[in-house]
Amino acid sequence: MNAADLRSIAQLSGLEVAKEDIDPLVAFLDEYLVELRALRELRLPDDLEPVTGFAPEPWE
Amino acid sequence: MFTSIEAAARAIRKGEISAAELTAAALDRVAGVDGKIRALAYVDSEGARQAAQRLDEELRRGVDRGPLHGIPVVLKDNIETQGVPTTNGSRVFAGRSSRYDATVWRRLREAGAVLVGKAGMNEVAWGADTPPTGNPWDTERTPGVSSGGSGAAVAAGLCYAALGTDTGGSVRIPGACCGVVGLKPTYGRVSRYGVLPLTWSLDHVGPLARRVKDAAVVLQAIAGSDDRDPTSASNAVPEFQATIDDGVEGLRIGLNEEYFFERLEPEVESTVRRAIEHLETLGARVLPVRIPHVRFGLAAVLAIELASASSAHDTYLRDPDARAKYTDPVRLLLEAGRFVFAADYLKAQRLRRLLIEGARSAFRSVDILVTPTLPLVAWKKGEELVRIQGHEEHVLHACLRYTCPFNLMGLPAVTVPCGFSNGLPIGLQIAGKPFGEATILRVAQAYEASTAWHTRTPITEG
Repeated sequence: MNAADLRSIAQLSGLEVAKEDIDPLVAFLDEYLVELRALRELRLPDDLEPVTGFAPEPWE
Repeated sequence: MFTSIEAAARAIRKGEISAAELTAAALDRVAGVDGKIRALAYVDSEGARQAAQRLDEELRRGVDRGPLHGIPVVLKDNIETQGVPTTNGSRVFAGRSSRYDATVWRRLREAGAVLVGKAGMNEVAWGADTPPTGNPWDTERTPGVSSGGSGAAVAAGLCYAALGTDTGGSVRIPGACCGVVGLKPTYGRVSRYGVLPLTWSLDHVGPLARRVKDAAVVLQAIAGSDDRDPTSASNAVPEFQATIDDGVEGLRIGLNEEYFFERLEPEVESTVRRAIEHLETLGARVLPVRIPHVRFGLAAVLAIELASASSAHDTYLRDPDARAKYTDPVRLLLEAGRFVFAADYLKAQRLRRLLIEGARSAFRSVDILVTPTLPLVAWKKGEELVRIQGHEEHVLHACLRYTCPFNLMGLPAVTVPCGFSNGLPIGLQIAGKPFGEATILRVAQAYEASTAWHTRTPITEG
């Protein structure tokens, strides 16, 4: 990711990001993306539903 | 101030010390030591003295509220406490005084606990640093992440117990860094009503204490359903003290070697392995288990936490005056959450279900899981990158690696001190099935009762 990419995404999403925050945000997101890319590449079963309401129940 | 809650409670009832004297001792300790470690963001001296006097008066009239009657405690600064500032560790909330009590504080107060003050915390409970608090074992080092003030206050003997909040590990991490017990209960076991949110589906409230039994006493007081928290569970709360001394004979310990014993400091690994061997000598059996995909937990936690924290602070981020009051690193973390795509967030939530199913399957053959709490000991304050076994990583990622899977799965987990490396404490993490707090407390107690790590105290004489 670079500053121009981030500005475009922010603009598309209607998000306001201060000019001085752009570079540090790019650096942070780059680091975060290292972790996230692996998750993105993980193949999950098609029938696996997301957790949308979280309420653990006792197990046997 | 370094005795157990049980011993202090006994002394109060025998008339050897009054609640007022115990509270005065806590406040003296704060005055003598806290200038060095700066664990507390707010000290309620007058409120504590008055509460303790009322509790002494009650005892004289024969009203006994139980084991916490007259016991000094500390709350993290994101827990609403009527009439006392609750600032969430941030200038954004500076000067804010609570208008009501969080359920956890109401329950502790009704159980007779005395509030000494509010513990310092990471700004809005986000990020890796807990300025300005120092670790009582080495004030140049961190006390752990967001509940660092709570961990430092307990370790330094400013109180008998403290409450912290744990979104990715923030009760267990300061527990391990400060050499005390830190317990994250099952999601839903303890109400979060009146606790300022960071990540709704990951936030937990739990106790930090110097003894396992002390943590159990506090958990007993705060656990149970609460209509004001929509995520609160209605499951019955067992009497934790009833089984806490039952030992570990025949208990099956699961070891997930993959992931939980990868990329950690050698001395942390050898110490934790010795602790596990010790549990075997007490009669437990060790069995290999595997929770598939657990290594993706950190990415999932980051996606969920970044997005949720950004949403939780949306109102303030949109207000230019409030926005300017966040420190730069925290504002950036909150802004970064706006760039987590919905598809990534949902993939993280799908992974979460996979992890829960994997753990459920693993727990068919074992009763508990045991891991190191952290791959490293307390790092230097302000340090952003750490190097472990030749691999450099952000300290936030390093410290969350072993703890955050249990937030995703909502499972109870406790850390107990199990050794030291260069004078800094190491924690052993014990995790259980949903609502299995009694089992993990039992294991933690068996370990503590047969070792002496918990008897060491940091050098913090004022």
